[in-house]
Amino acid sequence: MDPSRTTVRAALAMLAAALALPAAAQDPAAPGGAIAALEPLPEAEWTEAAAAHLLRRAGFGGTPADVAALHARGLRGAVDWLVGPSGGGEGDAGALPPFKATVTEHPSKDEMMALSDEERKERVKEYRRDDQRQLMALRAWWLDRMVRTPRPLEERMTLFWHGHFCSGHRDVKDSYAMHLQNETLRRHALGNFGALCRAIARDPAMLEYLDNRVNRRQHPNENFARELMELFTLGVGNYGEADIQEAARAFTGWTCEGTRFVERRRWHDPGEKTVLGQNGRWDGDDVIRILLEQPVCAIFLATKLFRHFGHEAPPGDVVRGLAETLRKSGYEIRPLLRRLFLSREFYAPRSVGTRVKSPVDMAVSLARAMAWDGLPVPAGMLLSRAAGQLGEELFEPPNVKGWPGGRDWIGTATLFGRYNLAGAMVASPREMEMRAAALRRLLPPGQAMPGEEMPGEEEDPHAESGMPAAPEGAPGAARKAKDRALRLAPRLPKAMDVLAAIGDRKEPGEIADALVSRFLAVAAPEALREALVAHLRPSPRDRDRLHGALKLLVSSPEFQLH
Amino acid sequence: MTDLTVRLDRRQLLGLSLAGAVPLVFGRAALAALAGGDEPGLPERILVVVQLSGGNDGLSTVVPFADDAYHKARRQLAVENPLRLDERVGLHPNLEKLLPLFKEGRLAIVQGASYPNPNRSHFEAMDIWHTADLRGRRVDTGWLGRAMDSCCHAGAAPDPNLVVAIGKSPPYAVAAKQLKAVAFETPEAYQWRVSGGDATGFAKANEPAPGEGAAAWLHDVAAAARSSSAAVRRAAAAYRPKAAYPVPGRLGRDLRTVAALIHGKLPTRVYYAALGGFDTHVRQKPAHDALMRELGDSLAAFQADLAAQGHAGRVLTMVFSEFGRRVSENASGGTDHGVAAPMFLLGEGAKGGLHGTHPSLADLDHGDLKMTTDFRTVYAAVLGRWLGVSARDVLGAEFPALPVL
Repeated sequence: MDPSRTTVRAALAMLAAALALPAAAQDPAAPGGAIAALEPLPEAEWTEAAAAHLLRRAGFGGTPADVAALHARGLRGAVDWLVGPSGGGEGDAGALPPFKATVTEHPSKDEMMALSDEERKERVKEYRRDDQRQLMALRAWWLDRMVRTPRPLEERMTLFWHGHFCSGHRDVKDSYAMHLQNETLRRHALGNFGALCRAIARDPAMLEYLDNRVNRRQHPNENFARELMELFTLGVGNYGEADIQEAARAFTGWTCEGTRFVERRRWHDPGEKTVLGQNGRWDGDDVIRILLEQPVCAIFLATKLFRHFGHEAPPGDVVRGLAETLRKSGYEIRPLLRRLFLSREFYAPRSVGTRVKSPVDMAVSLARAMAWDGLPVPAGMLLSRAAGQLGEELFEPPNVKGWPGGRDWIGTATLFGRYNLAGAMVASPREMEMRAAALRRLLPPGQAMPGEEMPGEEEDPHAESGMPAAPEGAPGAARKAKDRALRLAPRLPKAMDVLAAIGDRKEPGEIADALVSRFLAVAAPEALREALVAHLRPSPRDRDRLHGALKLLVSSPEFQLH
Repeated sequence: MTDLTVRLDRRQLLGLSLAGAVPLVFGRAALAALAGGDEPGLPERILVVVQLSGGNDGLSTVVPFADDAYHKARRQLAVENPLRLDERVGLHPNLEKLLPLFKEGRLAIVQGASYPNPNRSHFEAMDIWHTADLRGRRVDTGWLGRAMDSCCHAGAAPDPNLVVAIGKSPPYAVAAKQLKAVAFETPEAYQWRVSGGDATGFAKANEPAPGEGAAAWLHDVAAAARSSSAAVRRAAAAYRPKAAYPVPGRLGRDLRTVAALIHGKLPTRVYYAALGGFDTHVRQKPAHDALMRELGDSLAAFQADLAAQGHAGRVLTMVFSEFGRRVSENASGGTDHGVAAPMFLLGEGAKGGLHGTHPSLADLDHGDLKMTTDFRTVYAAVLGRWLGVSARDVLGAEFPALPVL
């Protein structure tokens, strides 16, 4: 090791200890141990409600049976089970169907050369259409996986990283590359942050999205280096423009051929670079190491993770304590999450039921709460489209900063959209059957794969299409969407068995309470409970009434929270 | 038309004092505002944006018919019998209903609009138009979103109907820090629509609620959504247009909805509508001819309707596309992505006529027309002179307002 580097690092560490990590500096023997909010929740407070909160945040919720099973493990057992190598599963997430790619490559240069102008255009068009289909299939596959996975934390973290290390298909224009990135994010989802950074720096979709693919010593491109510091590791204000320029040089020549990463020697700038005070002949991995050595990097990541899993305003000592855990473990994600999920702060009133669900979260957790066993292909496509219209289009973050989340999900129009989507999902068996019957009239069995019924996305941005989940007839595009939805209906999941869900309860009040505790993260306000009871009263155990009550329940402000 | 200084209403005064400007001089728009725009609570000036998605072929819209180079480059696609605007350019014949508006001085045509280092990707180019920033989505708000945040809801909870986009989701142009735009494809789609839903129970559960946390805030949004949705649907259902909109036609239907909401006295200041299908790489002629017909007839019907209902004075319509198309037609009877293209500004407040110069067909950049007008100078006019907000603040730099208003 270069001695000057060691000195600089030691100096930085001292500086960090003085500035950013007072708690740890004061009590090095028990790092963060004195932070009350990070003390484990007392076992006595480990209630079923606490277990339900943990399952909603660390996973995508579940049925009352899932909650009871998690509760029975005890606090530590539950957290270990979720965070541990099994990720909350009894082992085998490998049993889930892998994504089946249908298009893996752009048309090759040779192939294109052999074609006339006309044919080439046709070929490109054909590729784009196939690529769009594959993208839709990929979105549906992921949503299905979120619903089915026995390792919910792994999927939740994959989704988290998707919003952190953003890439979007609009720019990447290659759904297979997006699939590869998704696999990379999942592989490292609960692993080591440094390893994840190194993998992302080599990821073909990212190389394309942030232009490092064309970053050459002759023409350095700073886009990736900038976002690596600003959005991925340090946050704005913790580096200078010169650091970006130098770091960009270190990443020169990191490019790809098709979807294969290559280091192109002739493009790489082998000279000395100075990044955040450290000088050497750095390459990309060196830069990542230097960034992770900055104490502010751990603070940055710990803050973002706490905000994602806990609440919007983490106290300073909580963040510092979690950052310390992160650094002590060499940026392993699991120890941080374990400490977070055990902590009092995570179960505090200002955390429980205070976050707005993302559209994907809302759809997936509702599916799991209803005990759906997955999303057949067209249902997954419809749900992912609906989530897209509500602001969360998978593989298409709004920009490189990812989804702002929280209250940003909600507007007057999206609130209705969320209500209508959830309302369509809790349809009664009779309604589902009506859709299926309409379909059989429209389309004889065996004709056309439902997946192929979905039209390709138009090339125009903001090209319009109907709300796929619109359950009622409406003119124009919404009408077409309805027809499409009807055609796909037989592959929709089976309606929830709501009678089984209420057991032998007979009183409208106790039935309402059972539904509330299954579907809401917060207590029902009096007005909502009265509305449910009034709806159920004429015939409390009537299936349609029960589904009517469910529709009210998911069309409430409270249902938006978790 | 004589210009005339008018007294300014409260919002304009606020905007001006914030911008530190001196009283503005308005033309016809001010007269119209005096005539009919002073009803309390009504927005004084409304902007309607019509987006032509896919890249409209400007050379087939505002046709440089007198230029030999045009006929050489467009052997199949040259537009015949354009409607002369001057000795050099003419409108596509299917825009015939816009010609009277042009002659009456209510249609401003901006020529050669684009921006430096033009981008030929649909998405990136559209992002630049939406953000009014060459960095595109690196900026996390749109130009209209910033305008609304800066002018139109001083700290208080904004009226949800301040911005209404006709479409499945709001365009990036209206993305704001505070305001969430309303978006719907049809007014009927903007409501709680759950089969077998219990409307009474729904209303009860979605009233405002006491408290401060996320749930109370959501109850406020829910209550706002219900009243906003009711206002939109009531206005749409009650509307009797006084002009014939083209049928069938997506843009005509959407502009009819906009007219209904304006007439229904919604507090909306910005409406957004789009017409797609302009990405004409193959067999352009029939497709583009039909689009021109739909565009011209819809805009003309909208303008006639507004005038008949007495709203024309306070509505300005702006039409743009993310880019024009390559000068030379391709081998498939179509055109590929290009650069500069015309914009339209339609309304009593517009300074009719041709603005800027038509890009030269003799001086191309890699086969593309060069920009002659930075579109941000048009935005600057719309922001400063129509919406009464500081163009400098919204655009982040000083762009001289093109005198189109």
